[in-house]
Amino acid sequence: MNEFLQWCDERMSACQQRKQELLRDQRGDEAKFEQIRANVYGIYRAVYAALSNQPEALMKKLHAIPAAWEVSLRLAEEHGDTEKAHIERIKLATSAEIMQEVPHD
Amino acid sequence: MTESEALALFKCLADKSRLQILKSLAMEDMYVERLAERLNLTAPTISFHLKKLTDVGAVRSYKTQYYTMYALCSEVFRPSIMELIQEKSDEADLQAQRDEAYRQKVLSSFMQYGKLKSIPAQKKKERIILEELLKAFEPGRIYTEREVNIILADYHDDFCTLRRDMIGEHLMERDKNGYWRVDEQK
Repeated sequence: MNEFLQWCDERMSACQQRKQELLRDQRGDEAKFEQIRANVYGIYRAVYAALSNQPEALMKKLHAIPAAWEVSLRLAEEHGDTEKAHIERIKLATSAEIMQEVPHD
Repeated sequence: MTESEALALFKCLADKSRLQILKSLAMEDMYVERLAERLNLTAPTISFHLKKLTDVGAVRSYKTQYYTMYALCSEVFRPSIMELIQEKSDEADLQAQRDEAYRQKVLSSFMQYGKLKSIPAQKKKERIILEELLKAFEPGRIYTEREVNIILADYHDDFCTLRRDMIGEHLMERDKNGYWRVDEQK
């Protein structure tokens, strides 16, 4: 399997494991944050798997993914919506981490 | 403490991280970074939990020279659980609470940050949205059609539908002089 896809799978699996641990520890909101991280890895994985043979389209699509989250974060901050802002920051931080791992060749 | 306040508090407390934050604050007032270090959580996660605790009145904040400090609102925890479960629930109040909860659910589904995401297809839901939009109109004032359009366009591009439905729902009336809120004309 492609290295990047494997890396995504490992990250998703780690998130799921942390989520289960947090749920067992009665930390529901933090478990939800782990699920959100896992979903972000899942989104990038799916896009990469679908477009890995079209490098230009792939990079364009990957860079477009966080755009909606940036807008959503700005709106949440403007309206003092702390919970939403926190969730959008998690998505953006995960997205930035993933982009470091995307093969650029 | 009302029943809904008690429920919100218990729901908020049913989380180990938040309970640990309260235990720390029971010892002394603390700022976010200190709590983060003590509880081995990130500062944003602590802020997230503190916001939830503040919303239910369990925690309050105050500013010092360098930090925003957080303190336990111990008075919230004084009533015993027995006192809370013995409090009577008034059925009329409960009905009103259910209506208000439904109204809030519709508003949060269809509106975000003061904008209308889409116009509900269901009459009952659209009525709730229209009642909310009606608040943008001053009581007793007569508006031209253009003014009504400008106000409604702030919420949704399809202001014509909204304007017509305001009339259809008898929330506004119109004549040759313009439009006005019905409730204030009675």
